[in-house]
Amino acid sequence: MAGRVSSLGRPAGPTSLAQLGIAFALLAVLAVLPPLGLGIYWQGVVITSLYLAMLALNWNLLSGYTGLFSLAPAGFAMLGAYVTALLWTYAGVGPLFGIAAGALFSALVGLIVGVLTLRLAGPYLALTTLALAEILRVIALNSFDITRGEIGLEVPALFAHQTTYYYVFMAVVAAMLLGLHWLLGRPCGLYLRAIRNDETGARARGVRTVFWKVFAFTVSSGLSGFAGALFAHYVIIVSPSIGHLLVTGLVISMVVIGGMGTVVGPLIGALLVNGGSEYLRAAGDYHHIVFPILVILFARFCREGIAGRVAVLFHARRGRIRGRREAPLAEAREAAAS
Amino acid sequence: MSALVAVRALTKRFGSIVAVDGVSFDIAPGELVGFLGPNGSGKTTVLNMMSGLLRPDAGRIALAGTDVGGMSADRVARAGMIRMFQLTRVYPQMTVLENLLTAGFALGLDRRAATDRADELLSDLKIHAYREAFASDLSGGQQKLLEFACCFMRAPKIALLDEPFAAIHPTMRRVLAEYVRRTNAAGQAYVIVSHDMPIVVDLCPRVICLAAGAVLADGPTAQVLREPAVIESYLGPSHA
Repeated sequence: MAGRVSSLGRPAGPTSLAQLGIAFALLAVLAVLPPLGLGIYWQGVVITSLYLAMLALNWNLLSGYTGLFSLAPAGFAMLGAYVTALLWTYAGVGPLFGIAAGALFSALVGLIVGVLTLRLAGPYLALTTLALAEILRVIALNSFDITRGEIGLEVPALFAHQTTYYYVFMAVVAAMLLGLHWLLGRPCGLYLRAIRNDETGARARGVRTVFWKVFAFTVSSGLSGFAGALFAHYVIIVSPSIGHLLVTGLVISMVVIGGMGTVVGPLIGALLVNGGSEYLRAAGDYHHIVFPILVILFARFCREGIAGRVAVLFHARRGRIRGRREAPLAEAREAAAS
Repeated sequence: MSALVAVRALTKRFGSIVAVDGVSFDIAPGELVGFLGPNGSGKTTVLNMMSGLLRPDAGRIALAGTDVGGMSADRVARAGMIRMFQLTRVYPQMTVLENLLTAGFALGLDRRAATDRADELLSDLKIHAYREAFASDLSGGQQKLLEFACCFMRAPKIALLDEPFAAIHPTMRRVLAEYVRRTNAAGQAYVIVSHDMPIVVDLCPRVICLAAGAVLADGPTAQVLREPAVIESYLGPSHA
């Protein structure tokens, strides 16, 4: 199943080795930057971009491939971060176990929310996840005795050097890309895409749609929790700002700009949006409106995102989009022959 | 012979409207039954309930002795009662092969068996040239053939086809009808909803005519089509 592009201009073949190759080429470029002199500050920007790329990849699995619109990626990241922080603060549990626990707990919450909501369609999931994310954030904010509110909880660093974080975050993104690639190449990848394409049709042809939607939600939540917990041990402070709705907006904009339903799109989007945001910081608060405007422009003029548009051009050039041109001709030929 | 499908007193209301009102019929193994009736007579609603997409308000649906009434659609499909829709439901952003493999995997085939079966069906239905094309790139008729093929990735106990011959080219209609005829001769059971009377007469030895949510007539096709009530409510006076 090579990565291909539909006539709607949206990438439809998620298991494209070419896309995975581009993603790994990007990571390879990032890998050589520190030895070439990338400073600490910009290493930090890349690390944050990679963290956001993790959230974007997981949100893309849910929304880009399965068609489920969640507004809680940052909420689940915050949940994972607080699990490791609380375990460290109150039970002395080390970071590695804390990160694993954060991932598992987020997955469990995702499973419960999924079971409760995924029989619903349309905006209900979006509203439920929005409410969940805000409830979690407000609880974290107001439970001062436990969470120290906005001040946050301190957690230990995982590594002594920033460069180590840099490569660890890269390795995690690489692992998530490979995992996504593997998952989407299995029958369950087809089921998830079928659900996004036509859920009723999928159900009528035997796909256990509720199960696979819950599965996607659980995996996405768990991995977002993992990313949040890992990030917590980089920033070494866990506060409600990790789960702010603005972070979710940022993640969604990264996927939309990079390319929904593509393997490489979220990574491109994360690097572009977060890196670009840092470049534009000199413009003061105005930089906050640049990316929302970009999202609007992409939604209007380039719905397939950067990766999707490149794939369209690439495949169109190689004459891979044959169906649209040939199918009507063949039908006409059949008609003429009859 | 015991019934493959037994529908008893099936009822469905939408608010104050009784869409299906106590419908009962049996379908024997290997039988090919035409479902007739004017628009709004309840044909599609009956199919929706049989295929698990709608929960009946009352009544019973049994498939090979197992009660499937109220079962989820995916379970009904995996139990062997599969559904083709009036408005085509393929996966537009997936290739023709991926559409078929999805159905094959969901119905329990492994990759090799699913791929082989997909190729066989695409050849039978004369759309093998589009194996790697996107479903959205196919014409309406070809999409209909693709959806039809998806229903047969694993031979169902019974296929419920809602207007399979509507809005497709005569050549494709012939291909589809020929496939139905051939597989029915080999024992495949069908329920076919169609307004295409020549095809219904040609294919279906038995028809059930619905009107206002109830069974108006049920029997051999020629006999049902001569019944005054059927002529009056469905066929019109020109068929008298």
